[in-house]
Amino acid sequence: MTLPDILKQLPETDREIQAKEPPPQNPEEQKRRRRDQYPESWGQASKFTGLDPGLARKLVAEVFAGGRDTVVELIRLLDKPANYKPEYLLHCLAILGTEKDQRLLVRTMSTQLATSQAQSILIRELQSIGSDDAVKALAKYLTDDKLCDDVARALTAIGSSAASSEFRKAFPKSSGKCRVTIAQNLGALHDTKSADLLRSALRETDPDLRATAAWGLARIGDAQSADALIKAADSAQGHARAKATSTVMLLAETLAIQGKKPEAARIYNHLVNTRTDPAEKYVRDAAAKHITIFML
Amino acid sequence: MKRIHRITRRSFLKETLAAGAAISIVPRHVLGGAEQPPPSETLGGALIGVGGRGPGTYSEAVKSLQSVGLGLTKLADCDVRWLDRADNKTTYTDFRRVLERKDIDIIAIGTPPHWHALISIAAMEAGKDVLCEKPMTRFVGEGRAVAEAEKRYGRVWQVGTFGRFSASKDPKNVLTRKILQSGLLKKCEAVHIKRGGLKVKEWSGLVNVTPQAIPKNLDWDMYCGPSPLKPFHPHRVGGTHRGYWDYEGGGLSDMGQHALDPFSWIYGKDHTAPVEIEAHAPPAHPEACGMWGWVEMKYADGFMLVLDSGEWGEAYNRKQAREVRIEDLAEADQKKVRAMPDDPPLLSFGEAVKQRKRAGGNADVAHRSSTLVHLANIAIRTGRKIRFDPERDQVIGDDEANRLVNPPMRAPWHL
Repeated sequence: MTLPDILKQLPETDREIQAKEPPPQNPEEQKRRRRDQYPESWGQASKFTGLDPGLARKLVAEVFAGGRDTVVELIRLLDKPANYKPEYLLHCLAILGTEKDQRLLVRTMSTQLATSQAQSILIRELQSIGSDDAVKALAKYLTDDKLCDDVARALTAIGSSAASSEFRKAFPKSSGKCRVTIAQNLGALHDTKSADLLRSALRETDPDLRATAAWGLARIGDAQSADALIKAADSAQGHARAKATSTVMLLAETLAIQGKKPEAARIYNHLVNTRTDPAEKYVRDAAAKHITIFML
Repeated sequence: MKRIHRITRRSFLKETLAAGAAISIVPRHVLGGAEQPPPSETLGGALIGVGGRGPGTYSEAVKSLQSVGLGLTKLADCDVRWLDRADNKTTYTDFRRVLERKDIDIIAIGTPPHWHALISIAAMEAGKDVLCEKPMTRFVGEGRAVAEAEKRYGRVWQVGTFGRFSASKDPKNVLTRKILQSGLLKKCEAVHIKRGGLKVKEWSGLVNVTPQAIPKNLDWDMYCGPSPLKPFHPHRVGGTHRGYWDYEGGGLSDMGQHALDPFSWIYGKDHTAPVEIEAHAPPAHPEACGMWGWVEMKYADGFMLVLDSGEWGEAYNRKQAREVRIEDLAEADQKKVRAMPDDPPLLSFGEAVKQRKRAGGNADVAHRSSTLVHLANIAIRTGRKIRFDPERDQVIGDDEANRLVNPPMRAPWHL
């Protein structure tokens, strides 16, 4: 079966189905149809009606029977899609393919990433099923303003040491929002090897980067950064103060869990002693409660 | 390494709960004292996310506080669609500016669900109590994080669905709960089937969509927040957001917690989750939530929960509904169950705020009822039977399914 034949078997949308219905037979039917109409400004947008699971598996097997060439043909259709079908079929391949099929798909999407006009779609599918086979291809875009967020989420979903390593490599070359994104994902991955990078980011000018790096260090449980995090929280105002204090609490909690009790106690005691404003009584009480619970 | 870290943190927070079941921290306005008004006075409130259910959620907070003699004065509204009218005095577009106000004690959240967890956590970090519209969260990992923040800061958090309060007053439900909580039922054969009412077609998303210009009054970047920054389309905003995985999870997410929150109380499932989940559905669309037939969820004790949409495919026919019966127990065990003391009454949001105790629909129990819809959606989206570990909140042996349990957020937003 050719790819166009396979795509033809995917179901029509509800608008397409409605268009083929006979005229309404009664006022209720007319009312229902009017209710189901969408504003004209939404153009051809319509609701997805769903594909029979048995047929879906059959069609997926047909695509993979065509091998890499058919997968590439499908990916190229994403550049200028006539309708929802190529994107949906690609997703069906991702979720219904066998392990062997998925390996082929991941490798093919990775190699097509550089030339495709539908990079976001490929990256989204790699977030869903990507493996170390896709890490290098994804990491190329970690410093690309348009794609760094998408590829960072895909790499974190893969979550391997290879993915962490690519984040660390890209961080020195990054700037702006990509830099914040990379710092955040290093924290999300609990990447202890990135502690030096994140500590250096605490001294940069971007407040989002500093806050994100602090959060990453707190998740890692980096005792060396305690003073810097405390200083940032003590000097912050408004929402930033609540957030930075929360990061300090997270660091103390992580240290306590890691058995670093003196370091944790020092942080909690600092909060007990400094959050004396009545509006911050809840912080003082929370810190005191944690001292008791951790027997610090 | 990641998992060990998580389990340990959870163990710690369990201890936190045991050590401080009653929240001992009293807010300024309730405490009274030289610098603080007495309890009879009014608290300051704010509504974040004013569309759709937002005003209703805020009204619930007002009513609940009034029922215990506390007033609530609305001091701020916040919505990302107000770029053209925000004055940062009473109307805001950035919730962070609302949370830093010291005169606001209560936050009602009526945003789309992809913001519920982050705003809940930020509000509690700022010392506020929270009434949050259902569904509690967009994915499983968020619920655990909200529950941890609730305990860490000793704040009151209540989900905006209240069926468990009336359910907990029905003697039949009380007995059912006791049977299941007693541990005396060795083999549970009960099957609870929830048929229809999940608005599957109504809250499904659009495909064949052409991106449109972002309206001038909308902060689209802030609207997307922790979700991917997608091209704008009006169907992604204003109620119909429910039809997209980025913001909610279709009618199942929207309506499911209404039915499943009381279910969790009645059947004693407030502190656990199903261990096997299987769905009958077409392969899901990657962006738009769509049709599904039924989802079967089995608990470790054998109890079966079935969601039958009635909107796609053949109706569920694998099993018949079967209630939990006292006769399922030996006579001696029946006596033991009947002798069990009743649970203490669930505290309303207002009672919880006034007494500084946990609300009946607190973050722990709401996390469990929202987990049910998330697991159902994961089974629908992967097209596979999944196995779940309720203790670790992780899918077992299926990395791809696990990626939907706690997906990464768009920086700088994180849990």
